[in-house]
Amino acid sequence: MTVERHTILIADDEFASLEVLALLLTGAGFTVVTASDGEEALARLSENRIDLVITDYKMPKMDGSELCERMLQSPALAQIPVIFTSATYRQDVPRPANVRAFFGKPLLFKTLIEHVRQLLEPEQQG
Amino acid sequence: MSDPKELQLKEQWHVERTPTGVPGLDAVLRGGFVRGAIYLVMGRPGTGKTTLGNQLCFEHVKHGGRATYMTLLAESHATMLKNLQTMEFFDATLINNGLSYVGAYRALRDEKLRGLLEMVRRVILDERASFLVIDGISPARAMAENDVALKEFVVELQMLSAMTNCTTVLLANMTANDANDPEHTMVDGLIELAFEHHRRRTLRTIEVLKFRGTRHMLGRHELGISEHGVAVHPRLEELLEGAERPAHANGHRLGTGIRELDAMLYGGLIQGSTSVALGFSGGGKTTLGLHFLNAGAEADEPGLLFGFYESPARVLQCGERIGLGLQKHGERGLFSHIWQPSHQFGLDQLGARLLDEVERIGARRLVIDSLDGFRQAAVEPERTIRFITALLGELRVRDITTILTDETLKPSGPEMEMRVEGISALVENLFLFEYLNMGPKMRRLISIVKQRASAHESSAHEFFLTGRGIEIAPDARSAAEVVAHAEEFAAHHNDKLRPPEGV
Repeated sequence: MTVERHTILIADDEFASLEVLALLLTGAGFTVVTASDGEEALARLSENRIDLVITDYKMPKMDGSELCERMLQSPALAQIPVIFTSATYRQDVPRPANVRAFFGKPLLFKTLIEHVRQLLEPEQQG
Repeated sequence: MSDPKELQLKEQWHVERTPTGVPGLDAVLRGGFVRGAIYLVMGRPGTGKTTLGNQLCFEHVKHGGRATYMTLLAESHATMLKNLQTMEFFDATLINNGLSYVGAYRALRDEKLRGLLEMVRRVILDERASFLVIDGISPARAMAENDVALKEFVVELQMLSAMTNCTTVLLANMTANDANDPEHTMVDGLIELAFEHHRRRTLRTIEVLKFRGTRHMLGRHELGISEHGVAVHPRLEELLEGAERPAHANGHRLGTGIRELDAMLYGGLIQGSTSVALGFSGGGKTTLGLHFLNAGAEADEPGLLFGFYESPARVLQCGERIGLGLQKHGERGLFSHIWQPSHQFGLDQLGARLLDEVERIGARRLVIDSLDGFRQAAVEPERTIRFITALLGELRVRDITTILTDETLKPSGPEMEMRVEGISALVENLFLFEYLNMGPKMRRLISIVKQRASAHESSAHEFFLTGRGIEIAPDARSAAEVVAHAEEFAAHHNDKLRPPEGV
């Protein structure tokens, strides 16, 4: 039996952040799709079957918050969980309903991957 | 009250330090590397990069972390380990047990920088490395299509280190003159190892040129490589700067080991004070030091002779000849002698050796024989006085009673002067040893020029070097006669104060 790999969309305007997180998540066994702003992320969401979105809060064209709102307006995307990341985002800022977790940058991959697995593979996490 | 939002950001941006375990380096970095940051250590071949890189790995593992030493185009792991095995930090049991050695050249050659980055990712995650050294970054530069590609690689490596909290050190065979290259501008810290040539002397140095996120000690510091591994010797005046600790001042007096000298001092040397014994070569200064250390050892006060000229065997022999039991005191841990040629080390390495030994034996008394050793060790003569100021300040804070000897170029008279300008203002006590020419016979005088915070005998006394060491006349009468006769003699011969031959 083949286990289907989960697909994660990462949206971040910071080149290294995007590339390295993609490298780490690919290495951890996930399929990764990338986008460098909210608009591009929406396009990728329409083209792929995405299981989780990890998005930066501050991005050009369309920021993470607006991306979440646009996803909530679409029945096909509203159920996809989102993780927010930001170097300056504060936890007290209202979060869209689909945001499940927030991580300050610099991200610590060890902590992030635990949350990702809890969201995508809850049965394997016990 | 602090804003909880600000607190949250502060917590997010908290800078965690990881001590290097390399003696002196953490002091220069003021706490060690920043965890998850990336550093470039550069230097020409032979400056100590590989030794430092390996030592950093071993120390990291010894302190509970996991480390990987990754090579590109460098010597084989077997050759490298063979060369390192005599170093004190080397511990074969740690290899493949917390410390791994990985060759990554093939990944670089076959898949260029992307392949190398993937290799680093695998190593960090698979080996769970919290410390990574990449030795020989030059091949990565050569494999980069252009500067932008290399810059991208370094930024990605930096991000990978930060995200995995793995501190990364790149070793590069280059110097600060190439410091405009992409890898220099992108890394979190730049450290240069170098050789500094001073005529025929060569000193190893280390300089932290850039260190993001925290202040560090600027400037070049001495670096030593021995069987103990790499040790950094920060400039003493900077190391001790700001250590505002009160000096002790209990007014206790310590015997010098010469009863008449104690009487001239009205009770001996004040504890924690510093004295200079100034005089011509062979005038009895070192002997005074031996009396002083011997008297301390007899009172169970450990003492250190920090010397540049007399070998340990000669010192013991000299002590034996005048009835001092230095060997016996040494066996009981009450006397120690550190001896080194002045050209072997720079000032800071000397300072570290001295303070380490003072600490090790719990010294209460110290004799430095002589100041000239420091002067000759200094590659920047103008620094000598700053160094000695810092050293004496530290000794005072540690409540150590110190005698420094200093040699004059003239045996007596007003031309006698200290060879390191400014010393007399730094010390509490000043003893003058003089020779006076009396024709076929030389006569010796000792006087106390100053003793801060205490009255003292103001007249010179005659003294003799005998089988019991220094013996001082109980009063000033013979000294007065000597001075009168010397003036008379000089007037007749117009040949004042010539030193005796063979002294």
